Amino acid sequence: MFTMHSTLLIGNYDWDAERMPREEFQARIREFHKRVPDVAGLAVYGDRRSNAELAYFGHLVPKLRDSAALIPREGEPRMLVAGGANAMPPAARQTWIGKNEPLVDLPKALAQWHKELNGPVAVVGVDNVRLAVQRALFEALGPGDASGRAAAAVRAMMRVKSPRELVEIRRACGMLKAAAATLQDGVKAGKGVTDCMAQAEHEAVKMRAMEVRSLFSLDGGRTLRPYISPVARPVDPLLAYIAVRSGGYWAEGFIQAGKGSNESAAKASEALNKVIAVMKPGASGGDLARIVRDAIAPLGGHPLTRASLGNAIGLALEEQPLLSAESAVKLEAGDVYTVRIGASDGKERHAIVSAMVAVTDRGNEVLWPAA
Amino acid sequence: MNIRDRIDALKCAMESEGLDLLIGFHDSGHFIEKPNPVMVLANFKSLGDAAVVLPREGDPVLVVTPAWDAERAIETSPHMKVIGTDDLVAEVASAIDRARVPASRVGVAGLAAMPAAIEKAVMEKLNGEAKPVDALVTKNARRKTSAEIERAREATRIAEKAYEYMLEIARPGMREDELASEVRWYGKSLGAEDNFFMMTSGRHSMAVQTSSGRKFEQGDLVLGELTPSFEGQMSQICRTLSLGPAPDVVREKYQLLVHAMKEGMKLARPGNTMGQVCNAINAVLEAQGYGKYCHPPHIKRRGHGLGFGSTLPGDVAPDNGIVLEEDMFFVIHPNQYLPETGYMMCGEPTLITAQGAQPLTKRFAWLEEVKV
Repeated sequence: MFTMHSTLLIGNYDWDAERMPREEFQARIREFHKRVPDVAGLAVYGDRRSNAELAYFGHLVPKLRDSAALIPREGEPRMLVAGGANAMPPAARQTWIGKNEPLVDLPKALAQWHKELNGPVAVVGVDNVRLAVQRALFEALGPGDASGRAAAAVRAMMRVKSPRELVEIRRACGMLKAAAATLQDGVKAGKGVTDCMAQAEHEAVKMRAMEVRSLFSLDGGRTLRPYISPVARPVDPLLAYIAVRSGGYWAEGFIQAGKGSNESAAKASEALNKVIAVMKPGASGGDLARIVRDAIAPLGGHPLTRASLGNAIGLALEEQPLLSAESAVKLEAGDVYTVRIGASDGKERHAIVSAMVAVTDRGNEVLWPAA
Repeated sequence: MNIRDRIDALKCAMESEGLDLLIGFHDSGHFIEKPNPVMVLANFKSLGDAAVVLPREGDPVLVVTPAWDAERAIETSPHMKVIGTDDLVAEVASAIDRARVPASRVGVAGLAAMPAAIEKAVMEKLNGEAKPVDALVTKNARRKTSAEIERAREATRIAEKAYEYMLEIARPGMREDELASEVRWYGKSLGAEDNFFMMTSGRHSMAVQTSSGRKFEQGDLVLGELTPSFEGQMSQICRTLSLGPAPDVVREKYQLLVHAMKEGMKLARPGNTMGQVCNAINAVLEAQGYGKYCHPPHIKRRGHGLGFGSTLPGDVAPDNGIVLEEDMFFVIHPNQYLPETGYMMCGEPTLITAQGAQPLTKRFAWLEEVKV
């Protein structure tokens, strides 16, 4: 889901060894090297916008500037953190990795590391970096397809959520639930849009969320917008989207607050229930899309949900695989998805409902129910 | 000046530069120090990748992603035709085709800061011949529009209110990131859509950093760089508070920083350079024997421009020769590490007027000693 990124992350990002112990990260590293045995070292890059892989291996989510974990097959990993010596103490609190060093020139650091390891080095997390940086990184690592294979392995590993990861996602869902309830209360009390959204976000902030993002609609759900300008007037019903990050993991949901359901909302809810009922190992995005299309007919889809009806979610708001009509990827036990169903008559009645769903061996568990 | 005046001036500059088409890009990575051609030309803070296509003759076009965000763009940028798309590169390529100009007469701004795949595709479309003109766009926006100045005033009001709130709730035992989150949320409830809020605490900090889980202790100095953004225009105040009574040396040295800031502000007027402002601040500190602390690694600048659009006039730094003009806006902050006190912060958002520097704050920085 597109949301507005913050210029600086300021929430609770410290590593909590009780919630996500060192052994969890070490097991991930072992598993990676088992899956890609010829790689001598894995470099994992992240910045404040794209950091899922870095958080997966190092827990660190860069609050300001970029960071990279250097993870050798043998020996201790290192965390490189941009920002000079003064940036090391706060960064050290965010990661289980004990060796933290200033990041000055990543391509140069990778070239040196590559030389020291004397074997193939892969880098992941660099899809969105600038072209000049990307080229310099791949040049530093030399020819070969190690990075491509590493990225595929990491994606596959991140897709299956461990029990501890599920605990974190449930925690985020709990915050989402509290925020949604506050939003409902605010709309019912006739508060202005800004007040309603701010109070809802505050509920999650009070529960120590890392970050909260939101969108809302001023036109009965036809369009959604980020918070740019204050809106004092009340809007009822209010369609809103809230995303909450806790312990690194995201939960997101659409909330239809205020006055009762319209035809579009009823159709979308019906479709969501039908989709959830078939979300089992083996089902594909295409299967789910067909169910939605039939269930919301004669209404059409909502512009926000037309491209896909959801995606895997975890350390990123949008992880692979996407759930779309074209997707042949089969659901697997261990997947966690956000499912978004939109319906619109193209005129006055618009709705989006959503759920967070964990796929299990026998079916699924709804982690966050639609209202 | 308004945004149409800015676009007209840019079109004139394009003519001088031999450009028939200018394309300004921005991704959704809004950052205080990252120039944003789309904000500068369209006043649009994008959710996704976006571009402004500006022909030298003809109307500008704003291309936004995702497609569903187009209606917001139409509201925000009534002076532009808006196209919503889920494929920025394809839409920009079509715009280039429609313009029918040789690639050598196309200028690009912000492209080198886009994700690699976008830069690569656009450069291929333009046969690698497009001319980077980032400086042209940024320079053209060195003076704020009337609307941007009004937003800066509102952002400053929010910053001061948020600091009052911070003084109310800061207490020993509270975590830095807890306070930062609360203050950021409070600013948002007042209208700030974002906040670059750096905050550090301790008895002897070396610099300000991002907030962490450190718990405040009695006797800490809490350093805050509150930088709310209102409708895409940031302002910044820098403040220092003491949890409990501050030692006399801290009180004394804080006054020194405030005095240095005022001396710098005296020189912040049209016709002077940013370097002169910086040197005036440094002179006060150097006279007290702190010359070695006025330069890297301790300090590299005494303030800076404020995003999210243009970051000019740049840093308040000795080597910044940019000449100040009316309607330039930046923060002057003689934040300083001193061996007796550690790092302390004071700074005011400053608008350049015909009469000189106008701080937008109601109250200058002071050392608040919070009762605990």
